Amino acid sequence: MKKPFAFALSLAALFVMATGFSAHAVRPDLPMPPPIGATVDEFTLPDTNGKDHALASLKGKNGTVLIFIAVQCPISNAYNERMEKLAQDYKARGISVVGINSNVSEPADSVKAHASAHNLTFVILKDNGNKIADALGATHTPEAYFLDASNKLLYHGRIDNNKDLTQVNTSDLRLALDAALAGKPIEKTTAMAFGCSIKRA
Amino acid sequence: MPVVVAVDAAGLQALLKRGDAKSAKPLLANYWATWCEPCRDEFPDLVKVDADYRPKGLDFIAVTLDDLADIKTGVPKFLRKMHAQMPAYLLNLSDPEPAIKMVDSNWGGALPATFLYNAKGEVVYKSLGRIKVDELRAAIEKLVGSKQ
Repeated sequence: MKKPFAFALSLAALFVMATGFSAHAVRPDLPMPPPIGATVDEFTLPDTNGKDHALASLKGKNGTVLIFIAVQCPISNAYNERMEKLAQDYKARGISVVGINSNVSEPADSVKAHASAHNLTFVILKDNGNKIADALGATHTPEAYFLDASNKLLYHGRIDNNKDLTQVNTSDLRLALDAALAGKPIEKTTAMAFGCSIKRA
Repeated sequence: MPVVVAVDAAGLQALLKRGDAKSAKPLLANYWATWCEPCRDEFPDLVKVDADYRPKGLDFIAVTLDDLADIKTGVPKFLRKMHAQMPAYLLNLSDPEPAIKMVDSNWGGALPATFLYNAKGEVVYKSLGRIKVDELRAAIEKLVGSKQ
């Protein structure tokens, strides 16, 4: 896990040099996310049964969506059905959805029970020690990263504009996936929304 | 029961605006929600900060991201339990992104988040995540001590 962490740190240093903004003046323990277009290093994490999965073994032929999720966050939970539908809709189109739980306060057995209770059928990985959250600069749940088949980051941010499904008018993540699948440029590569902080170790 | 006022992005921008009048004061803005555990955990510290520094010239606003349906129930109930005295607002938006970007383009939206502005409206301290209360107090001391 040293390699992706070092990668994230070097990106953060480049960002500071390029912008003059120092994240270290604010929270030295929160790494910056990689820029759009950066290649995310391969990683291996256990699922909720303790079985290890390499990113390479999970990704679809057209890419992977990594979503940081939570058991107890009401915002993340508001998206359970939408995340499952996303996984089902894009499975046939060659994009895998993978959940990652990095919350130190939520052990694997609670993540497993939560997935079962909410009918989440996509693979959920347990990021013990939040190493992947650190490597990707993930700060909250739900927070999505869309990687193409070569692990290049194409989109980072929210699933859509509102946790209340009736208020949704911009499905940013789906728009990014559809654009990539159509071979078109992604119009909006980052989008923000409020969420629960990842509880780091 | 504490009164919580709903604001949109423009309303929030107006609340954050500093520097026009000679009487402008430093401002502490905390973004939180009742569903956010670290927000609830740090709130007693923020209430003490408000009590200690408001008399010395610090403005403080608490901005919740709770649902509008909770504006007269869960939010004021929590504020009353905390004995909170600072003005309280509920950010009511269908799309939060413009407000998040307006506050800080480096903020992904994780709660809690706390920003300290000097009287000119410049951010002098921010915490994206739970505050470190000693650091926050030291930053406030610099502002109210130097009467910026």
